[in-house]
Amino acid sequence: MTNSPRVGVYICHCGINIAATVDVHAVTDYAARLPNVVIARNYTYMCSDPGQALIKNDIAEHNLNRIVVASCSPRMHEPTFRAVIEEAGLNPYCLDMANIREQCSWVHPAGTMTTEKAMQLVESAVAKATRLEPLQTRQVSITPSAVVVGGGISGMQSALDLADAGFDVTIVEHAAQLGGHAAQFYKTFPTLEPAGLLVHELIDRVTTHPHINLMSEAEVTDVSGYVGNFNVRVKRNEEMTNVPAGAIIVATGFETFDPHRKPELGYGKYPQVMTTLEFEQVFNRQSQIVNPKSIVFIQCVGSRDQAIGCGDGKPQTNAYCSRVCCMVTAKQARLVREQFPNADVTVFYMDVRAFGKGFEEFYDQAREDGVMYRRGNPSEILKRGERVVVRAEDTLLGEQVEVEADLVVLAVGIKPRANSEAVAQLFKLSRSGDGFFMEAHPKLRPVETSMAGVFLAGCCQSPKDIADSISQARAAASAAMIPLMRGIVQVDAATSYIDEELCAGCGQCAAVCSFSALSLHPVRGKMTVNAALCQGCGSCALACPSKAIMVHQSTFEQVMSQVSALADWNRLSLPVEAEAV
Amino acid sequence: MNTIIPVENHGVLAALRGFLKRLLDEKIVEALLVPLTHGGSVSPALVTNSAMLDEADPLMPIMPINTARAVSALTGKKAPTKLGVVLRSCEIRALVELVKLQQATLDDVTLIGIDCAGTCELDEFLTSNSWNNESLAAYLSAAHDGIEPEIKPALRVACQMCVRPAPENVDIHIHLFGADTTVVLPMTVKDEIAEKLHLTEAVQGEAWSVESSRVATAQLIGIRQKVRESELSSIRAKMNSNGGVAGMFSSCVRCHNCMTACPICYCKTCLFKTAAFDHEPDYYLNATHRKGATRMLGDTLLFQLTRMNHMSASCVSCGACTSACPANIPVGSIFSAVAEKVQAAFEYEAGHDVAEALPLITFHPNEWTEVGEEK
Repeated sequence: MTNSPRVGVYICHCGINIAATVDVHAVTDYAARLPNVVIARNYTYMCSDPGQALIKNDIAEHNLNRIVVASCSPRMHEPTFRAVIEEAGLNPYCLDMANIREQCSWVHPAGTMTTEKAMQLVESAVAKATRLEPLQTRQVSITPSAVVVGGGISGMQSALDLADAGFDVTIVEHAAQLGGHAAQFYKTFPTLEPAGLLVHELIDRVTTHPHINLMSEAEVTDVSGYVGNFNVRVKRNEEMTNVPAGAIIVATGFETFDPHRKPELGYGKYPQVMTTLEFEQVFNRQSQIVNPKSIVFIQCVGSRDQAIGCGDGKPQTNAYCSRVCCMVTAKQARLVREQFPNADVTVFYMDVRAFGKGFEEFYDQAREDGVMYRRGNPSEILKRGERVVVRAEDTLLGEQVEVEADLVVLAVGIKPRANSEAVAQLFKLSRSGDGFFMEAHPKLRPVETSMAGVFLAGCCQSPKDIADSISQARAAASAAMIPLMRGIVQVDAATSYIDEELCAGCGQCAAVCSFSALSLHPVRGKMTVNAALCQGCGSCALACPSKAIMVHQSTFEQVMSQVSALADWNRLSLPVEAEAV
Repeated sequence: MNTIIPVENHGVLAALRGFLKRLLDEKIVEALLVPLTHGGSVSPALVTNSAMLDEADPLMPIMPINTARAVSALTGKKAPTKLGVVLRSCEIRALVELVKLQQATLDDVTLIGIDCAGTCELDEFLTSNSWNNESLAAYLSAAHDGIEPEIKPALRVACQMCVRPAPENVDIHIHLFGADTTVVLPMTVKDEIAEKLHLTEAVQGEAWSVESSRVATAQLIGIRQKVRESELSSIRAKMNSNGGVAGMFSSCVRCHNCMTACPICYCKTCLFKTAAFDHEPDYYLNATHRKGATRMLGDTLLFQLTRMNHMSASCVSCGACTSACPANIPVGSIFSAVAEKVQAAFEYEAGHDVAEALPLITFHPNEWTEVGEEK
């Protein structure tokens, strides 16, 4: 059946996402004229149930054996369409997708050239599709346990969910105590519950849980293996332990911005200036401030600031919003008003972002309680007698203001930990431009990473409050349970493979492999692929000078056929041979 | 340690053979790879019987093959025994690149490098049939003086422009530059080997000193640097002229000799020996309809460019490709011109040190930032 290709081409309108800029009917007519194409159709949403039914029916009716879907990125719907053709009895790898949305309709204006580009992409996909081979996926049994790196609230919550589901979990925490940053907080927003209670309840459960093994004052030094069967090497008191794990959750947390880097704010110079995190401890001890008459809060210190770098060697700016500081400030301002009713409390802000559940109400209450919000970014803090003076422009009044204060609290932002790059290399994670670990997809795969079996929770991925951290922690635990509960992992068949006749064992492929999937066979002197580790990225095939390593689904022949279809493209004027619907 | 072997009436070659015999007899190495004479020429041979070393001649100015390939065959990923290899400087550089490419190893290998005053084209050398004791003496005298030898036939272009004629990072360095080899054969030997052979520290003087060696080497490099600059700039001028790189390879007969002769081209089977670029017959016709004319067979320039892509970071300018080319294409000079720029771009010196990582498979996050998108 696979010898003579019978291709069906399915062009998606994606509502108006594609159809508004690409003449989908012209592309359908064009596709129908291509060699080996038996039928070409277009439809509003190919991924919808009726769209999928079209493909399934045609496979049966027209005896199709290769399918091309021209729609969005394969990252979006390749699994969908693979499942569709598999249900219709085809091998799921007999599918190719032409991305005429992200790579065409979204980035070009409506017009003939855009439509012709869509035609080219379809022609190229058809050329590849006719050369696709059926591939068999393999299954590997897994180690039904997990490692959670980081014992803050995110790490603890992930570990508890996994342990409650019956899986053994090892928590690796670098500090002596669990709890991370949250253990230092006084009360939470917007409910003003004592944070200590929340955190200590988690710590109690973690330390007494029969399925949780806690390794504190420990660090991960090496990670090998693949989803389902990782080996995590942990160093503790100079002693190395190998911890096998089916899944890994990275919950390594954050650092707060160091306000020394904004010298105009006088942090470290004037004892009256402290950070929000230090102020939490003032509440906890309730001893350091004696009858203040005026307290000033300054927001966005180290956040939404294009002028400063991230501080870990990368020339970055902290352009992002740290998401928690507005509410931390509102909370602390309210607590101050409550404790020192006679003190003036002023907040300097750029915008107040009170987006969460109950946040806006909480912020309103702060203002009703008499907290003075002034829009403006303070330019400097000066010393005047026993007090300091905050100088700023009130941008709503359009005038310079000076506020004398007994205490200034800087709402410092959340930033990636200084060791993020080392941790990223250890777990083979990507980092986004702001330095936080990058999720596999910002919308669809928010807790997965590009490394199968490694998940993210908490502020190591982006700034979050406690509620969001817990949500992501529980999501990461759920995602990690998918391979753990299944007991097996499917190994994608679109991996690299070696032609031992050609391989000289030079190891260049291994040098460029980001997933440690390649190694030199000690006896044969040839490279070998660990298919469970291989992610099919193809770097190895590029590095090999003799085509001794190739990637299923992107073989030399398949890629060259695509290039040939695109090179010097001329719009074909072929007679209609197939049915265009 | 610097030591000196005295040269008696039988000449420098006998002294050199005597030293090589000691390496075998005193079990410094179990086998020795060295050029042996046969039929007016030499070819590299593996020797275990020291009597055979009477035929050894590392001083004959020809390099039929770049012997690094032979070391690759003898060692692979693990040398079977303690091996000594007598090599010219460009052969050593090629070997170092092969080691980085995991095609050879230096473990258990004693590297013996000889100052190389240059080699002749093999066919011209054999045809002229003029190599004798006098020409050897003239050749060594030029090495002593740090000048180009006036021998017939002339040196290969690659040798005339060789700016790294002295071996680098070897276990035994046999000096010809700045040495009066009518009376001494000086060498720099690793201490552990010198100790086993009971060698004594050289008394430096008229006949040879570290300084005389340095001066002669530097002088020769200076002469050759000028030739190199002129040769490579003429090559670059042709590259940038009308016919461009394609024009320079227009006489390529697709024999792949350059690939076969290249010591570093290590693939088991070259991509261009496979069916990878075979096309259906109608492919050529379709392509011709687009372009008007298609050169047949079509993959000569692609072959050269692919080999340049694979080799220019590692090219050691040995010129074996030029010597092998039946169409007289200056392949080695073209590759050297490209390699010089590529290696400079990565601050990489091919063949210098096995510890230096191959640039194309080494990832530095902040490398070549000037090439990226503007931020």
